Amino acid sequence: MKKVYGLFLLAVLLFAAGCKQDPPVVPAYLQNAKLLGKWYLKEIAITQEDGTTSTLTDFTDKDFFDFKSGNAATYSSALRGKSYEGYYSANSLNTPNTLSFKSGTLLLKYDIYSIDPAGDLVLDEAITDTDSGVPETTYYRYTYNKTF
Amino acid sequence: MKKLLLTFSICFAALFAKAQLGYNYAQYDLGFSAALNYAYTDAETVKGTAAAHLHFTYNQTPFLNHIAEVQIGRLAGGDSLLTLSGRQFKNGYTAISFRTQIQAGEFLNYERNVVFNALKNVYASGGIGVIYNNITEINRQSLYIPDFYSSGRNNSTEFFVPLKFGYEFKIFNSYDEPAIKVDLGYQYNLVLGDQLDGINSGNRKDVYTQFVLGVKFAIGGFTSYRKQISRQ
Repeated sequence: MKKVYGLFLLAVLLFAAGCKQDPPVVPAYLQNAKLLGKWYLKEIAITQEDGTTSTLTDFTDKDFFDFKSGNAATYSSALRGKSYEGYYSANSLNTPNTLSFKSGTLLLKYDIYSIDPAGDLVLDEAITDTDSGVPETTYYRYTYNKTF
Repeated sequence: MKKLLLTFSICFAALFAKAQLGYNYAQYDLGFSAALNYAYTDAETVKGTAAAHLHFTYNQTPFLNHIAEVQIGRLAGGDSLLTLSGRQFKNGYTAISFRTQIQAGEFLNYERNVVFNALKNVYASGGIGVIYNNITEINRQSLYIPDFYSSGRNNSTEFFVPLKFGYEFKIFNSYDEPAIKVDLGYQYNLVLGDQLDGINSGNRKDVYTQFVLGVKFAIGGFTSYRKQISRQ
């Protein structure tokens, strides 16, 4: 009879084991703990191809990135007049490391210049304009800080 | 004349005799099953899919069986639109396995006990198998998390450990031999790899489970068991 109990025990164990899965985990190379928190936009330095540079600093508390656990993020822009809930990835396999944010059809991609959790988050973006027929690249450097 | 009638009577009586009634069984069965599969893999959602099994059984005793089985079926899971990882797959697989199955009747003295007689057909089995994975559809790219890509192989071969328990209803013929067996079982297949979904991720190995309904037909090799198979 003990052997029969063994059969039933095996049955219970099989049922119990049948539903376990790996929890969905974003790969470690797409996460960066230094990013977590709310970063306010402080400055944008814009450099044209001819070397001309201009700086913008008049930003509001509506201009920020808020990086949360699980790669969730909020991007807010006063210029766009709205905030976007989405997901980010900080890809450490790329050189330089890249930061991407996606919300619906909105996709923002930056190179990470530096991250200092107690200081600034500096992101670079290069946008090439081909509307005039001659490609012109403009370089943007965004400086964020956790204090507004 | 009386002697002649007596001789004929004895001869005709032999035609209706059933020696060792209820002790005999066929050593070989052939059968098929239908299964409902669920794959527990790196994909975030689980879907039910179908499979068909063909099996040959060698009955060492009526309650100790060795089963060779071929499975052809599909496994599926994930959702490219509704999950963060975007993982979604369909696997048109073929598997071959060998299992040894032990039924409670091998241990129980069920002859004079109604409950034990009902329990005698409860079984557990285990073995080894090999599965050929053929990923026919896959989505590896997350729609939501940029750069989130799940790599893996579209074709692979992996060993697996099938563990099964269930109940085998035995249907007896006029000679009280188990001629047809209806099998109701649950099978847990532990794959010794991580490519069931074509995605190599995480720490756990892939698993697929099956709810199985099958039928087996005795095809020959009749022999006797040490006790009556059907209840007196």
